[in-house]
Amino acid sequence: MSVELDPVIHAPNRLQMCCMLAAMETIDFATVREALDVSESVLSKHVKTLEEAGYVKVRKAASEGRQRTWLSLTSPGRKALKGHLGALKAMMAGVPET
Amino acid sequence: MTRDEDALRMLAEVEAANTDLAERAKAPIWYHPALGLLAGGMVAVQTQPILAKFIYYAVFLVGLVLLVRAYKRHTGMWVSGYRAGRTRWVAIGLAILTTLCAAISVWLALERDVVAAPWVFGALVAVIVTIGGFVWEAAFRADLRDGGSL
Repeated sequence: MSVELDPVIHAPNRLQMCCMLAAMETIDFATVREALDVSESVLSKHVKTLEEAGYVKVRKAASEGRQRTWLSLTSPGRKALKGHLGALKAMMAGVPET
Repeated sequence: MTRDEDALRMLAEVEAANTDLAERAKAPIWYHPALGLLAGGMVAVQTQPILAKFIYYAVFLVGLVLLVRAYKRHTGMWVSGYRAGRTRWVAIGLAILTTLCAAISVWLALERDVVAAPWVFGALVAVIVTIGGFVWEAAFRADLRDGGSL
């Protein structure tokens, strides 16, 4: 059986972001940026890629006088992530233990 | 680096992201006691006059909204109490215990004239929900570390 990696999720930061979002209902953009330790512009690009693929939903909401951006994983995003992680694990099965 | 080693490295990064998330997913220390008080109050008012009950329902809803806001502001994230994993069993257990306590207290008050029952059971629910909240959070962190979030 062949295993397929999802090119949209495959970039390390996007994979990490998807895994974080899979665990939560929603995460603030700033929290994701801090966790991944990347700049706003880099994260924005990743978010845009995932949003265009329909994997991530972006919602803006005012909170205490400032705009906050909330990210959440969509159902197709969750399904794609599950497939991608399954593919990674299948590939890893070929790695000898050290 | 081979394709297999690349996969191994990526899975290690996923694990690291989940561990980081587990560290961040900590509610303010007063969050669970406040939720416990709200839930306990809900049990305590069940035999009160209808007006008092409705006033409390409003307080309860406002309290919940404020708690959600505080959690989101503090952690920068939100998670459903009934999410899949160990957490779901903790949440279901808490819901069953709270409902049972409420039912028993109303029965004792109305059928056995034990007027203090709703207050006693309300206090009990406050303690159960507070402890349950911390247990839920620990289960959540364990779920994240195990990578069982999907």
